[in-house]
Amino acid sequence: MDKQYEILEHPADLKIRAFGKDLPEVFVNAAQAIAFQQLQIPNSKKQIPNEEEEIFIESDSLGSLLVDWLSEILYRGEVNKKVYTDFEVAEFSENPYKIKSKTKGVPFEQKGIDIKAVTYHELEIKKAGDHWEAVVVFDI
Amino acid sequence: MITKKGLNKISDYLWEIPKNFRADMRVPARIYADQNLLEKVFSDKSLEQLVNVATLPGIINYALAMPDMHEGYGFPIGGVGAMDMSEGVISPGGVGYDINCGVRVLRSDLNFTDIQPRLADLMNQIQRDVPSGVGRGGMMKLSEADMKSVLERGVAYLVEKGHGEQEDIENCEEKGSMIGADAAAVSERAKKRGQDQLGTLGGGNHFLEVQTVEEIFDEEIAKIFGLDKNQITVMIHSGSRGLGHQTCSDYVSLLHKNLEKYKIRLPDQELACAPFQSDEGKQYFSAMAASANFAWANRQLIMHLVRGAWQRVLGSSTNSGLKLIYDVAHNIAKIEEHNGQRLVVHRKGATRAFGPGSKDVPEKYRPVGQPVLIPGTMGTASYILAGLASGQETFFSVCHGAGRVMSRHAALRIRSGQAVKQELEEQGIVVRSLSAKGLAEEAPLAYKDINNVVEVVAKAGLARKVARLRPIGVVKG
Repeated sequence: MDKQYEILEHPADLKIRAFGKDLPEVFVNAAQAIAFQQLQIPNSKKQIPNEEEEIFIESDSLGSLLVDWLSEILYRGEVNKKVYTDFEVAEFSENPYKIKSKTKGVPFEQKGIDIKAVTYHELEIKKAGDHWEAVVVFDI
Repeated sequence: MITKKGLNKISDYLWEIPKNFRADMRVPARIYADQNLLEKVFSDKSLEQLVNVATLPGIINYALAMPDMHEGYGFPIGGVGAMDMSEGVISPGGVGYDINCGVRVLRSDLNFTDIQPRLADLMNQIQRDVPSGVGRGGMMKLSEADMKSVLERGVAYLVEKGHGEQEDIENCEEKGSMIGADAAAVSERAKKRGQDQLGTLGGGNHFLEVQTVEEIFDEEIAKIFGLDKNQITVMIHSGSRGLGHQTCSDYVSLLHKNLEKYKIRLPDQELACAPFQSDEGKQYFSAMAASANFAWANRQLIMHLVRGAWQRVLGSSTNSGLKLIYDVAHNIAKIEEHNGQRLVVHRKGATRAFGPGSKDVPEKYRPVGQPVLIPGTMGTASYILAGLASGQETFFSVCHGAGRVMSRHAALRIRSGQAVKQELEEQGIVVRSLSAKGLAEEAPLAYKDINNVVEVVAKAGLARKVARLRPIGVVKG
């Protein structure tokens, strides 16, 4: 799959469909959608991604795992004033549901869009033929 | 799929989806709209979302939608649901991530001709003094003790610290401090997100406008609200910032894990909820109330910064002359008594509009009803209404704005931010925005006609029109 994600119609919020050859890649591409939306104001400081951070999440379902992991990225972005741009999945399991990722970001003063939160609304993660897809609605 | 055929017409401004439309509905759903606004409702999934609200445990009478209704997540925007306090649930999805997103309006002692020559300077100063946009912190970094006081005392704490006047407290819904707020129910993560965000506008649809009173519809009430034709007003639209967003995220996640425990089945997982009387329900309410106080304090500090900018540009050694008319929440759950029943009233993108005589309305407004503040879009108009006794049927709730009809994505395709700015400036509106994209996304064409929406509110007897305000200066995040 060449495309990382696409934007779907929603009258007020940001709805995306992320693609990937497997679940870890779908997760990463959904996070890339956040990065792309947040980076729309060009960064005046043009810094390259710095220190690596580890994010470890455990949840009770696949949907919650995606929501919780993306929420953690939004949370860290806001308190660390960063946009996270690089994601590498080091561990991924569906039994129990957990993900460990190595993440890097660029410092940021002003982001392009205010993504407030990751919602459960119309959340869908499914296999579509030879690849995986996830639909996520973000509150903006 | 809901079609017009499936709706029962109750009046020219009210439509009903009967309870038998879907087996899981506990009550019918009602939509306030005229023919024109009703057509727009079918273009998105808001009716389906309203039907989902009608399935929530303990909901009474109807799941209600205001005329600015549009698709959201969980509840539709413009959605109202009242749950019995002893039997029903509370749902963060019925409040939203921006807890106590709301609006306040200040009146000045100046008119349009006084201010016009200095308008550009004034907007520059306001933009410099009030941090806006995404990720920009405020001037105040709250200590742990300050944060606790803001969360539990809201506006009163800021006034005590010198950031406002005593009468600001009285002129806020809930006096800017909700009973039941508990700082301990708000996570450390939420506090960390909010610690440098007090007094910041944020991005998205948040804005700050300098306006002029374009038309008065009710002279007597306008006088009581302190409004005159051509007078300059200031409108501030913001919420609880990252602190509220994190609080909602934390509790959606918590309540999700407990759905089985309370045997709650939901048509949309974003409606995650818990019985109001459960530990989880009470804890969410305490955290939501604390976040609501943070939002009131945020708008209070923004107002304080605007008063400072006003004085610097327009000059007055003693005070700015800016008086708070009122401050309303439009994303909140409240404990209210209606017809002798204690209820948890969820208003998501809806404004409380108590009628004359209500003890919860400041004494000076009590004879005429609560001031109801309805922001429009950047290029059009905003309204001030007054609550009416006949608003009982919506638990005294009205719309919260114009309501979107077009996605941000679609708005961007149609008009660039630069073009939107130019169009507004051609109408004499001074625009200050850090994000051209943000401006394009909030273009007036992406919204319903505010005049139409307010007309339906008035004709349906939910509130009375008092004044229309026209923007002359806008700061957008």
